Amino acid sequence: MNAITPLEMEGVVERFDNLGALEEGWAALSKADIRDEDMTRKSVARVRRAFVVTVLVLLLLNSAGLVQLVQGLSIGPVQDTVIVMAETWHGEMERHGVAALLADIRAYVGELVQRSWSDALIVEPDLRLGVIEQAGEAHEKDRTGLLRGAVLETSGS
Amino acid sequence: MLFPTLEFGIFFLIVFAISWELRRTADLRKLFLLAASYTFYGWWDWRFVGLLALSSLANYLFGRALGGLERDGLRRFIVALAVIANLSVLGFFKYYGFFLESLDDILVVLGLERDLPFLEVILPVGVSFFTFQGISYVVDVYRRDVAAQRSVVDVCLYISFFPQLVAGPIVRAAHFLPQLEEKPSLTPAMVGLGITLILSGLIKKMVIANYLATELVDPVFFDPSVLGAVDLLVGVYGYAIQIYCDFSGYSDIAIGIAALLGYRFDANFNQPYRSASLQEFWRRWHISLSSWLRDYLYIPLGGSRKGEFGTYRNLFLTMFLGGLWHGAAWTFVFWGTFHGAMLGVERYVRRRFSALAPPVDGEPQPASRLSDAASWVVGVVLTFHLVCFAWIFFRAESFGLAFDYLVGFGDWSTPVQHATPFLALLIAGALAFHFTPPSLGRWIGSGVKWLPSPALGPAFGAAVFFIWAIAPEGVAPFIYFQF
Repeated sequence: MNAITPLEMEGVVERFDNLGALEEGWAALSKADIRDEDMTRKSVARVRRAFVVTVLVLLLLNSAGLVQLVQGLSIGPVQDTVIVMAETWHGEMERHGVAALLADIRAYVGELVQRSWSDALIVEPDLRLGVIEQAGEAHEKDRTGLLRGAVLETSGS
Repeated sequence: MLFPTLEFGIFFLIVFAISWELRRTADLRKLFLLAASYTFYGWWDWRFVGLLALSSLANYLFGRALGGLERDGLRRFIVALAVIANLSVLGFFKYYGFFLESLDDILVVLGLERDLPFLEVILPVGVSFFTFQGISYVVDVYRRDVAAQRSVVDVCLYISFFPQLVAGPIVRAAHFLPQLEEKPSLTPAMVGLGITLILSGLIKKMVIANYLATELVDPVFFDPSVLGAVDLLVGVYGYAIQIYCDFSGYSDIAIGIAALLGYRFDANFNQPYRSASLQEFWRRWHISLSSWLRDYLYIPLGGSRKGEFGTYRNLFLTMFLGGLWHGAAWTFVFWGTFHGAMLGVERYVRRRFSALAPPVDGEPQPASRLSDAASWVVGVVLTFHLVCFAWIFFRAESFGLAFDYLVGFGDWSTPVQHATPFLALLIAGALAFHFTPPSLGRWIGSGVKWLPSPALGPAFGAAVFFIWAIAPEGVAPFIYFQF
């Protein structure tokens, strides 16, 4: 047998007394609960807004990634439309030069990755000797190294 | 579905939005999170969703049985049965082939060759993690650390919650189940921590670990016999950083995602390479596994209460089994036993030192002031190199390759082929991070938590884009998925 303790009884009476408040919903909760609920609601809304902006930023700057993603979709009228939309969007981003940012960053990092100890230590003499173009060609060739090392997503074992 | 992919990004946005919409109906929210977790798991292979559900259900029933019993003998029998059932699942999927191959080798040596029942067993992703969580639940109920759950959804969600499902951290039942009872809440601190950890995890995994893996570690470990000592040395340092960034990066993202969904996980790594002893290393590396092994294996074996010899034996056995948990190969067993043996040696040496110069009136003597800055530096360097030595066996695909690797350290004349300045910088930067203030992440998180969404959104978006842009193309699977 579970007897009701005086403390619980007090709570029941208090709630019964505040029956009108209970019907209104929020008043049935303690102040701490309301504070928690309010904080959670605000935090969730804040993160949701932040995520929406994040998606917009990524759509703008990483339209190539979007095309890559939708190209993995199966064949169908809806999917085809999505692919066309993504490619059109990417085309627009390319036309406005926004998509070039990704390629520029990748090219720069690719050069850094391929730089050897001699490149890193003897930069000035090379420039004075006027071999900038040759060095540029070599780096261009080396960029393929970045792709060489890349691995595709695989399923877990 | 891997964390650092657009697919997962879309999945998480949907889960985040719907789960918080359901926050006022706790049961429905848990059911939704369970369905999301099974979808996440099924993305790899739907066939194993049944195994996950069956394992969770069995552990729920074992828990219910334990909760309804008072007799100690019967409770012990049930918990033993539950542990055996869990380990049998793990044993079949993970070790069946390994044990049979080892048995076959022994029979060949003895001249008793037989046709053994070899099977092509596919290892379900994350099986080691969800099995350990199942054991954790049943043993916690047995020890009365947690009440037997009435809700099957709670137990299933605890075992399969998607942020930690496939590669940990191993969450304790006594830590997670009470959170399912509470009303879900999201504080600004959790938002700050979640966003910071997700970004830190993405940098660690997508940039540092992936570059080191593809440009250095994979080629160096492919054929170490053709490389010189510099490449091999930088290669093993690179692997030490790669495995740290790979695994702690995954843990960071998992903890961050859980935080954004309103759940708290404990930290899984704490700057492990700043450890001045192996004992300290194991308090900082894969904390959820080492504390699991301590609480469910080392202490039940007797811990340090069984005398000097018993302590060494328990240390050794715990690390041996810890090694075997990582993978079904003798190289992993060697890795575990090496750590076990070295922990024993370290303990012995420390005790001898203490005996030589015991404290006088509570004050350490000059000779015993070995814990000062100089000895700390020596300890850090020594520990790091012992750990690196063991990593060679952990990473090498066979003892032959590991042996080639060690032999190569004698060759200082072969020119450097793989150790480029960029990779050296990555390694140095990641090592330097280990010596930054431990609460650096929390400081950054507390800065992020007050950012208004018009600032948080572009900052998070730009950071994700920048990480995406500088990372090598493609996504390598996480190392710990295979365990």
